[in-house]
Amino acid sequence: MALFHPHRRSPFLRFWLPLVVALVRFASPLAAAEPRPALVSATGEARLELAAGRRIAVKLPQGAELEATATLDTGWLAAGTQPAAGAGARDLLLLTGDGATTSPLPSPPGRTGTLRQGPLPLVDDGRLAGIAWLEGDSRRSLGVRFAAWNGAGWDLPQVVAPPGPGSQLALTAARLADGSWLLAWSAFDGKDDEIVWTRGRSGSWSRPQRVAADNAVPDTTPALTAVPGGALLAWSRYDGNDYRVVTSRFQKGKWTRPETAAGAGTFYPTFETVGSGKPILLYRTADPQGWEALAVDTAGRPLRRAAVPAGSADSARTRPQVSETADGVTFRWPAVQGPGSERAAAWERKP
Amino acid sequence: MSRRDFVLHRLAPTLALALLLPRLAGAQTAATTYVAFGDSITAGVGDETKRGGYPPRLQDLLVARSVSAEVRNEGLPSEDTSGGVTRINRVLRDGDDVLLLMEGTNDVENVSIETTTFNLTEIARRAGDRGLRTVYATPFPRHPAAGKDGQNLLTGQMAGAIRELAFSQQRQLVDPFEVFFVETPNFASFYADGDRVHPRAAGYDIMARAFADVLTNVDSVLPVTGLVDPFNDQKNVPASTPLRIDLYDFGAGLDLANTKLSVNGVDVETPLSGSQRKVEIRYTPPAPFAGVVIVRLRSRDLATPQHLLDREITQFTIAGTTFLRGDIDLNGRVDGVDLLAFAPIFGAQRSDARFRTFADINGDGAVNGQDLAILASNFGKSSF
Repeated sequence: MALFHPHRRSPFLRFWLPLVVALVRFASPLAAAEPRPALVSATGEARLELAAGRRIAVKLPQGAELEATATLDTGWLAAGTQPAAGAGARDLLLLTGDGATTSPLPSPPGRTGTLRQGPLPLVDDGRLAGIAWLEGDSRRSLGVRFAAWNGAGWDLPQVVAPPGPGSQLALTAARLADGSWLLAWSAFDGKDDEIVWTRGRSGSWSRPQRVAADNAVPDTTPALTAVPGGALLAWSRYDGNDYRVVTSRFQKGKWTRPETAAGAGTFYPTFETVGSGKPILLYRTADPQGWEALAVDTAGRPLRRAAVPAGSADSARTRPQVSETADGVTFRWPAVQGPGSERAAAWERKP
Repeated sequence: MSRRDFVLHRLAPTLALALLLPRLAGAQTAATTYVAFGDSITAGVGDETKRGGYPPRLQDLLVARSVSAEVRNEGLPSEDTSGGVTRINRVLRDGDDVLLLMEGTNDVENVSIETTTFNLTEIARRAGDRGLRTVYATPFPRHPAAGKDGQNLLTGQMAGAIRELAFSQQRQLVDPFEVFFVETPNFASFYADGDRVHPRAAGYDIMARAFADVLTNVDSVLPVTGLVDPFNDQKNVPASTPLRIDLYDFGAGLDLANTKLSVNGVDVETPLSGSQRKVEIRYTPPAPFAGVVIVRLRSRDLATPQHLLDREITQFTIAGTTFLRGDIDLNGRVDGVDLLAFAPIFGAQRSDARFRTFADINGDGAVNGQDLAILASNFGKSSF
């Protein structure tokens, strides 16, 4: 017991344990990530589910809505939008809390567009590094912006991508082992939506480029996660008949050719953090309506799959939380009441 | 009359008629099969009578208008158009005639309007491959208190995109967005109790009538706008920006001679190009715009009786426009609307959740009497 006394640590604990912890984190960035708080409800009196199922209520301004959450060393952060001056205008709404109190963060300065939306907090090892968001004068003319958090306030925002010929939306980000950030989103190029990406290093962002060769079909709803040696990107691509989740790996500064990861009628992928630390792709299925979890290796290759049908319209629409069991996956919908709020599925070895 | 003559002249025609009659009768009574495809609004969620939304009501209306019709409900709650392109293959059956396609409400937060229109086009193309004619429908508007897009900015843009889709593909259009959001007074009263997305039974009655009118060629909808540039509430618009407005009529057509634009209360001459189904209205200001620009459009269609359109279609702000302090809604005037926006935030500090930057007029981090004094000093004044 004395070994774990907080005030009488052995030299091993004082010196070697932090080093071991740091090495483990470096070697396996997925294992270090903690689950994001779940948004049980996002408007009015919003409810967040923190770790261990603890729920807190946050009263939002009228017309405000939360869209994203993150876990910080100090507690949690929630980001959304709220009405701003001028009809139809919206600004970012940022809240932090430690489980006992909630306080607002200011919106980044230098607003130039009527609309700010799609905020994405960038969190590095439990610390808020910055925020990316969409800004412009209409849904179809939004640019991508980023502001770094300096610990006390926001630095001046940078334009990551100006408004393009059409819609830009669905921001996603991942921090690489070298400390740089990847940011990806879908952007209409005049003919169809493509997935574009940029890399942020030392306060500047590279010119946005397509992840894959130009095509004539929609590529939508990207999701990024860091893996040892790079990152994985998943998104939904129309194959001429159906949408299918595809993946590409980022390594040595380049993206591999997209590979189909899931069947017909699969879309809205995200990478979820589960106990094993391995990437789990979670996506929606069209027919029958439901959800699938797909374990992939660090190259994005499918390993095993678990699927559940949606028990209700709510569970079809709402992204579940997933956790691994001994032989499968549990899908849980914190916002759904009653017996349909949790379903288990065994892994199928051949996805 | 010989036996041969009897067979040829009396019996044969009678027999032929007897053989043909059932087929003729069958041909006359074969019902047109309409497939209502879409999401929860097509499925009938919110319909407290449990009748199943607009499809069964539409069938009753069509039959009442002497159309032999079967309307099959293929609505699936929570579906968006990305899911629709997969499900449509399973839903269509041999013998189906018309696809009624109202989907896209669930796309609003997830995919671009460009992808939504791509998906709708794909669904219609597949229906066409199976021999069905597709009728598009604009989305049902959001309730003003809806958490997402309560002002219907995105849903309105989607409605405009679907109108252009229907025009460019020469398809019929049912326009619930126009019928409810514009033409139905107090449209919010037609939503299900406690529901800000789905209509209640009375709303489904109106929706069914909108479908029935289009399917029986009854023109009941005003001319509708598509592209409006600069769009409503746009800020920082360059002063020499030309106006670009597309106007459609999916019924009897537009009365082009009576289509007029007014800018800040003054009628302007505009070249009209297009057809009675769609006209492109373009206007380049002879001198740069300044301040807030209000554009009204007057038009009518060729239906009997004619439907008159006379409404403000966009109000935008020119770059460099300065506003009086206290002009919270940035409409160029400090008035009661600004005071109403200011009042609920009075007393808030920057650390309060209800604090709003726009109400902190002097920027000192507190919404207090000093801000109210500034607003009051400009009350009733115009910025330009």
